[in-house]
Amino acid sequence: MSTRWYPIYQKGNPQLRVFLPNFWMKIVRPQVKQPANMVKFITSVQMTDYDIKNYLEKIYKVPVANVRSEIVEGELKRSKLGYIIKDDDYRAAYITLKKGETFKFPDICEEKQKKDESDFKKAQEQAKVSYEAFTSRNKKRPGVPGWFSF
Amino acid sequence: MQFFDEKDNWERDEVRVGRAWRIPELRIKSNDDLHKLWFVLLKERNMLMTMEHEYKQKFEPFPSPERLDKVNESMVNLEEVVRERNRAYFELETGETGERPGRLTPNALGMNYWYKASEHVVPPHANGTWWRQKHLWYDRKECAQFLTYYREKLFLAKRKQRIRDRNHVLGLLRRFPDMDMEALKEQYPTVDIERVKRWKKATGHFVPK
Repeated sequence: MSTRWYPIYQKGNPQLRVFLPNFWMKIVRPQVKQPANMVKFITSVQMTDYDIKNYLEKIYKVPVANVRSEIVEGELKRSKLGYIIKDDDYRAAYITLKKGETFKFPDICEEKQKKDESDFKKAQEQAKVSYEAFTSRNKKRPGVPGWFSF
Repeated sequence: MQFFDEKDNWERDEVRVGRAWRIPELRIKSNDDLHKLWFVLLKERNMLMTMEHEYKQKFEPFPSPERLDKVNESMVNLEEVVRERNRAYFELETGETGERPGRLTPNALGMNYWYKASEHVVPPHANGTWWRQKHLWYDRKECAQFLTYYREKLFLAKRKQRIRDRNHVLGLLRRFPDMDMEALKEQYPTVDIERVKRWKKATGHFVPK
């Protein structure tokens, strides 16, 4: 089983059980505004809609009402040297949560950006103060370069 | 949703974490524990992938990206341990490894590759489509020609390497005549050092002892 090689399914056989699933899923911010109970995922291409539903319900205990998914072709790019690069294909899945459930994508980078901005401003002010201290040494001798005095 | 990291880690530049699970540590765990650990790792990987994607979208650096590598390494190790147990069980019960069967077969260019066998609904003798797609008509003569050229290329590369090694050893012998011969032999096993030592190129511009 752990070799990831499963016997072929014949009608009447017991359902295949996956003991160590290696499927991956990630929540992404949808490009177009979605209703509050809709979540966009990017998943591995091999997953089916049933797999996605079971994965979310069994592993994450998320109540899923509906799953809709499609395979999105990876972007084709041309490198500077002229050859063509293609990104990996992925499956985009749109999940509707059950009644009463809502989801809002958290602002993860916003606080960090704010903090970085304030840090930058602090450094700027510090630089301003030190520059003033540097130039004030030659205040009485205008036109003399800063390095002249010691 | 458990797809996101803890809120404290959002604005950090670095998240300090431990190392990956190693194989000997996983060997002493029970099957049940390994099964639980797999899902912990799976969730962690999903979380990290979600965060990485979000940071990438916002043009921000992802804090401690080595976490993903650690989780992946742990998962590979865990799967290796489970596979080991599976193999042991199958060998005990059936005398076979229980791994996916395969064999070496030549492809259309006449080169061998590892064919991974899989189960089919229709047996091969009854599957006309498969016989027609199998391309049994390829030109054996052209294949032989191709393989000759291919082997020549491999041979030339090998010979070039051998000569390069020998010349390097000659230079070493010329510059450092008192070096450790055992170590040299170990590092360059293709060079016959006893033979090469007497060559003119291997002796420096000094009177030999």
